Amino acid sequence: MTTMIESGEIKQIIVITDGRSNMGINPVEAAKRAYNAGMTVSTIGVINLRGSSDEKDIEEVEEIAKSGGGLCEYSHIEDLSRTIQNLTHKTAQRTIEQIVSRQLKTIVGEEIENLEPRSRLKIVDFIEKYGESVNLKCIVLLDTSGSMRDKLAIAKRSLLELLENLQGRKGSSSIAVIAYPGGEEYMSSTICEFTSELNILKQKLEGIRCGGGTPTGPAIIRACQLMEQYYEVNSKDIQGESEALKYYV
Amino acid sequence: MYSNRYDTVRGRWTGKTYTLLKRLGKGGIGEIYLVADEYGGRYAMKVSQDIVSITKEFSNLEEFSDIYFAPKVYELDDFEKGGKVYHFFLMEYIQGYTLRDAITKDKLTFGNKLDIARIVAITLKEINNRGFIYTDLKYENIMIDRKHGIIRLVDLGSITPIGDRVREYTPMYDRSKWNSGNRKADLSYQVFTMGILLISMLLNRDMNPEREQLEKVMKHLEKHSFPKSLYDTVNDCLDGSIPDCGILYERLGAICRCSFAGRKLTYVLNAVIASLSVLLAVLIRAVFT
Repeated sequence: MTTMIESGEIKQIIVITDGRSNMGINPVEAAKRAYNAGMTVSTIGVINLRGSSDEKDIEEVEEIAKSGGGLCEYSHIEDLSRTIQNLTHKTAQRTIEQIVSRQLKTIVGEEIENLEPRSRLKIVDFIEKYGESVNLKCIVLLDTSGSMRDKLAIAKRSLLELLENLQGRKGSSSIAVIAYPGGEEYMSSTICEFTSELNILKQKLEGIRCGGGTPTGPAIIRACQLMEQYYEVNSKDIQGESEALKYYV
Repeated sequence: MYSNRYDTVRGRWTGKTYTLLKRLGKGGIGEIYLVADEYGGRYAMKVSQDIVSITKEFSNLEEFSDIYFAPKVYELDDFEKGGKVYHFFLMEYIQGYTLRDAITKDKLTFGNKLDIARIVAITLKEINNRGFIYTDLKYENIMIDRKHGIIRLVDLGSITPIGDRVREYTPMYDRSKWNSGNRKADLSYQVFTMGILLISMLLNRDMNPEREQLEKVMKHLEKHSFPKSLYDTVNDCLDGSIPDCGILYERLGAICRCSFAGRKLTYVLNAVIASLSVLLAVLIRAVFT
């Protein structure tokens, strides 16, 4: 597996869906590929009030997050904004926790869980501070199948609020948005490439329309490619963060 | 975590065992149980798989351990259950009820509400004085401690250094959700949460920033016959004209005294009116007989 922070940035994919994938590659398989490529895939299952979500839907969002090394949350559409902010933050923190834990193992021979609880404080502080200052690249995969139609307005607003919230971080943050279903071979459309500008995101989100099936798997693959493309164009050096850690531990 | 009552868990580092008596609640990062130790001592145990959050909240609680309002905190440890590692800390079990219960069951008077708001304001001021903002203010996090007869703040997970961004919040209390400012943990963010707490107590209901506008909510508040100075104070909380919770505390105090004086005046007026009507009745009787 490649390191999770290449180029000193955290790379996340967040899937927002209210149903089960029904087209293309299995999304659990796709999430595994993303994970192996150094990204985490987290999921938010939007709960349908009229009870049309069934157990299989829930199983799938959980499985995607599990194989994508991310976290899974459920949310009513009204609470989506807060859920997505929390999830982004927690996923980033967990990614760092895993890196720190691995580093700790090489430096002091123990994982954080095997340290005496009180001596974890310093490391936890480091994880928190680092989590705020590391750069973050986040791709949101938004399910825009027919059933999401009446939730779209809130979903768009939640994405704007996510970016607004991330701007308060000390490190730079940018998000990209892919809507699925969509055109072309990956059954999804890139709505917005990586941006840190609220205005740009707002303008691009205007273009989203709902309708069609739920090709979650193909959309994840599309996100991987978007991430990789970005790094091919903007390759940066990798060193920084492991140096910072040595200083702390 | 699991539903079996009277399950026991064993702390990995201390070796102490605890019996889980019942689940007290579920927060953003984990669950809280009422537990008994080997000697029958009762504690609240916060449990989560999130090592960062549990460790952080433990250290927040320790930081405030010398102040009366925060729950006392005892141990930080891990246990294993069903092949999974959980992290936990033990804290004082506060017997009492939340402000949510008090509002819905007790029918608080106007005076009660002002008093509660003042106590919460001064408590927040103490947190602010130490360089932190309590971002997740809400009814559920304010507890009336029956045993000691005081108001306490629980769930210190949301405590954020002044100047950082707000991460834990409840939409109803969040300045940004109401389009009234950013989500930066500063003193005016804290005062804003107090403004919302006041409105919600006075109107006796929750508000929803997704569906309502703050101006309209304030219009509703204006229709009630609360003292003008209280309405102004709430307004100043929302637009940032009150710089910190200390000032808010003083302004609420002035309103308390005013409304008490006002009440006195009404008593006197009522007495005057009553005696006048008796006099009138006597006069009428004298004229018509």
